[in-house]
Amino acid sequence: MWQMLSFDFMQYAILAGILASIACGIVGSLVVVNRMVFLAGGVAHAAYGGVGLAFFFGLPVLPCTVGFSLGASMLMAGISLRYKEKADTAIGVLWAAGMAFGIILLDLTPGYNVDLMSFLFGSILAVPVQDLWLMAALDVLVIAATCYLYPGLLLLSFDREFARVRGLSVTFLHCLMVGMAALTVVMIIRVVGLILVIALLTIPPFMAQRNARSLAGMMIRAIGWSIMFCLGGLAISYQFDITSGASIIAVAAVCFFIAMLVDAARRAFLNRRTGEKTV
Amino acid sequence: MQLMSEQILSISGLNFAYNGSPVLEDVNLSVNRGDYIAVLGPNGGGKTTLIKCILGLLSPQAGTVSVFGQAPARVRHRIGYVPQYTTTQDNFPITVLDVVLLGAMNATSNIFSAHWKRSRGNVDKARNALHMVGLDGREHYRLHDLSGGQRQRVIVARALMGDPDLLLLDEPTANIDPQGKFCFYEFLASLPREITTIVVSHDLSIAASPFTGMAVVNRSLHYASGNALTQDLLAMLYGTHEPTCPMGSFINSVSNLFPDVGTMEPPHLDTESADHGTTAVTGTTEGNTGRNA
Repeated sequence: MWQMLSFDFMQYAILAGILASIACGIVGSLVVVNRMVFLAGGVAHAAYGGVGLAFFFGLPVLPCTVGFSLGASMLMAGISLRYKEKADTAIGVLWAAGMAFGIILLDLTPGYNVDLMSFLFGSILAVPVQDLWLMAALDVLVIAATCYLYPGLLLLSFDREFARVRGLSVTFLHCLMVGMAALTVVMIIRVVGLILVIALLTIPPFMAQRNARSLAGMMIRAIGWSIMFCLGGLAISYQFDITSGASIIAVAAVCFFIAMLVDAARRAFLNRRTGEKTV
Repeated sequence: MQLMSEQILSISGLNFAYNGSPVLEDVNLSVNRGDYIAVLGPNGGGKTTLIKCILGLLSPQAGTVSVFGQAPARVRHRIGYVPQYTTTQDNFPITVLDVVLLGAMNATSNIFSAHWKRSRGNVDKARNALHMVGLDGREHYRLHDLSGGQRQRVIVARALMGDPDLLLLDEPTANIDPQGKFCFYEFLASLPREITTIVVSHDLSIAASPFTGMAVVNRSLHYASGNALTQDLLAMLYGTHEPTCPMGSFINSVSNLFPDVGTMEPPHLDTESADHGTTAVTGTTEGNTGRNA
């Protein structure tokens, strides 16, 4: 089992998992407490349009996807700020349209048959070194922005109305949050794939939220859970020779359901003891 | 109360319309220092719009709003705004002390971020605010572990961090059970006299609390001092009804709950004849309605 650590590709995979976990623990916590999971999903799928665009015009894939996702995310952020009640529908439309746009462009690209599965499930075992550096840069960016803007992000996440009364630019912070989510989503797609982005953005923060006493604490716990899921999933995928991205999510999902059961059991136990307070 | 008759809030001739449909028309209200005012009204009656005008988040199409004699947006930091508590915040990972400390945050110099001084002075102040709302010793609880009424009091403590001269509460008891509701209004009445308090609610039952004045807003605004719902105010809430109408007798029975409103006579809710003595309220009825004077 430990011999897996001697392979270069496995070392890179572990590094990629850790680097992705840092970004998605922080951004995922913000996404979860601000109830933007659907929006993050929309960005993740619309990103496929950027991939199609890159292949069709022969542009470099990563910068093109990042640019496209940022554009789509700002559109969604604007809609969700201005037309709150229509946001769900609009995000759903962009979600589907972005993806369809990408598939059509890939169909039209001569001589290239893209492997949809690798995009959907990622290829953490084939991460090139330069992508590790890119992810490290993303982490630095996300950490720096979060540290600098932490009080504002906290106030915005906890109570938007109060933040506005206190003179905070809700629009700027909301767009920044969505932009960070878009950037992170594009990066994580490379590691665990599109389908699994939602899981890594939501399950670790959910696990973290159960006991955290502050937003920062939630972020750090989420990073911890995420790293555990990545390492556990990689070990299992190596042991049983199964798809790495899917096994990472399998580990996360199993932990999620165990946590739900434990919480339910604890609540039932407390209710029986005190016979009151069903919060 | 009249010793400190400094005017805190003054609204005159306020008109507001969303896309051409009027929400508030010719609203006049003046509130003095130390007042404890309830603003009641049905849903859609313009309560939230009125709050946003007082906070300067909305500008009226006509009329003026002045808070402490200035434009609302300029003195917003002196208003302790307590927004409606939403249950979506229930699972937010935050301690009681941190929620209160959020009230010390100010973004006046930088709208992108905010200063958050977790200094010793602020922490002491936050503890003091928690003491004022009766939550001593709970500062390290997670917000999640408090009851609905306690959470609402934490939000009031947060507003107290800004040393407000005016507390503005929007539906503060929407998520509190009935017993806790009345305790909460008693608690607000027990705040230091120099804090002026305005509570906005659709819940009529709070009228029994010790307010110094009551206003009913339903597109227009009627005000009466004292904590009794006059028939005039009730007519604003429910419209006028014939004595034979079930609603008419209901209104009469509600106004009988308030002993100071002497409605021994048969209900006579036609506002045109409101001068037959049913509007004898505690104190003088020097509202802006003019009709009761």
